[in-house]
Amino acid sequence: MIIVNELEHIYNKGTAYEKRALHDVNLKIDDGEFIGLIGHTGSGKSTLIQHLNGILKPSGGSIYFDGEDIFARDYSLKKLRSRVGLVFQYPEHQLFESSVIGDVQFGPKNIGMPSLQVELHAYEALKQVGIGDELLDVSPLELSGGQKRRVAIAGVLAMEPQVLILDEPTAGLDPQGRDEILDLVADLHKKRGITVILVSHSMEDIAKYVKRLIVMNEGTIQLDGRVEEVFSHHRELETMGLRAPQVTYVMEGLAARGISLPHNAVTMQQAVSGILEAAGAVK
Amino acid sequence: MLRDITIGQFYHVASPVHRLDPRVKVVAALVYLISLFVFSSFAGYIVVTVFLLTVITLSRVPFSYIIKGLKPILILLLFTAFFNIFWTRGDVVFQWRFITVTWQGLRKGLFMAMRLIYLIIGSSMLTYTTTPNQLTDAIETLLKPLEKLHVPVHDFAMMMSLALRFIPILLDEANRIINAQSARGADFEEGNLWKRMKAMVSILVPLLVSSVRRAYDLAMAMESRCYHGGAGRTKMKPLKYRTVDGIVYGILVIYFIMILVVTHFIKI
Repeated sequence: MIIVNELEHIYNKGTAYEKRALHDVNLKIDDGEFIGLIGHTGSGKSTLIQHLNGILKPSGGSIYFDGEDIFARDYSLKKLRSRVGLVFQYPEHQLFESSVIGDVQFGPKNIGMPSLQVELHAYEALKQVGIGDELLDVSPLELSGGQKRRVAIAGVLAMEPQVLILDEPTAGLDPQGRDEILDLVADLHKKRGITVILVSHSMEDIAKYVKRLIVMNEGTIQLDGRVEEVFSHHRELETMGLRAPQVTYVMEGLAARGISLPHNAVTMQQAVSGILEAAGAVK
Repeated sequence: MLRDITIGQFYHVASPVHRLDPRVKVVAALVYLISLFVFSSFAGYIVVTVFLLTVITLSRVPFSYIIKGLKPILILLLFTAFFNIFWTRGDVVFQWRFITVTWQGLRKGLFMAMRLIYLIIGSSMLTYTTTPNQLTDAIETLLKPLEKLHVPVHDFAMMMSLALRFIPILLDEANRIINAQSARGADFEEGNLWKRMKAMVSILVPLLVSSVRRAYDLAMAMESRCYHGGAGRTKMKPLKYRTVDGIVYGILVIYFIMILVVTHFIKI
């Protein structure tokens, strides 16, 4: 369980470039949750997640992981990083080893995993992200964009984290690659039972997968709740430069024309079944 | 971390120094750098300090920010002072086994360290107050006469401006990669030399790969805008001198003469 308490972060404190990126952030994340973290560019979402595994130090406030203050002097950040895996934006830019398997083993080796486990977990992680045996000894630079990203995700996964945070994992991918990566993440959540935090600025991407949505705006949390709940505030979302998924607008338009719909749909499938149900009732 | 490297970067505020013609600033920096090497008496530093403090005050760049820029040369500074203090012969002040400290050594060490600090601060004042574009413009205009000798002035200026332009980008990129590798448990401070070198490789390889990619993208972008070098190229904002710029040139001459005179008469 992660508890974020009154977190504040100020970049370049004391210079002309001083910028308050986060303020008054309070958050509680339970084990096994699947969370979407959403917000406009510059809303502070990347800054927030970099605090969760101790890459950034807060200017104020604290974070507790399983009841321990992660910024306490005697807390091992290395151990924290093996438990809270963070996949950065464009993670393929961090690949450096001469072989795919070697790169994936980098993380587990760093946290001092026994070598037999390193190999095992690396192999497992690669298999789970859908990288076949034939690619294990290939140079990561020779892979396609989507494959590189999978390898990079496997590199974090091989450390066996309890919490997996992905910062815009679909940035720069084509629609097919995007769906593949998101399906993969959902699959990881289901199979490994780990907590997943998915950062994105695209509502459509996230609506289909996550249960809980956290919306950030100008450095603080604006909305936090179940997906349908958050999307029902779509006017508010628009003032933050975000949009609810298209189906929300369709459903609202229908409701405005006096068609009573059974539930608040957020995905295309829910919308279709809702409309069919309503149509059946009319007949 | 790397974000703290402020040397060579532009500091964005409005000030009389920022508004000066970049050519004046380049010449001023040059005169200033030369002036540091023409005296060997501490009295010279009084004139230099007055000059530098005036420039810093006028430029509105915070003093703490400038001091922070000295951090990367700290080791060089210590080395210089160390070798000068312990390896200069003269009147012994202090002796313990094989360590000997002399008056001359102390004096030289302090003198050299001050010279280094003044060199760095002075030259970074140029980059703090001048955008890379202005800087390139100034250098290109100042070196124009060399074109007669078939020196590719424009090409050099362009290369320099690109290099300067990419400093913050590469710093950012390096920071991102360091963070990403730290998230994978890489440790750049602990462990033996071999381990730390291995950790460095995890930064340098991705950084190199991304630099090559950026260079390639940039070349494409320039090519697609029909860039073909300096011949026949006009400027949207040609450099123009104002009265202030003339006055500053005058001040520079006075400053240089002052240093020569002061250090000629006061030899400490």
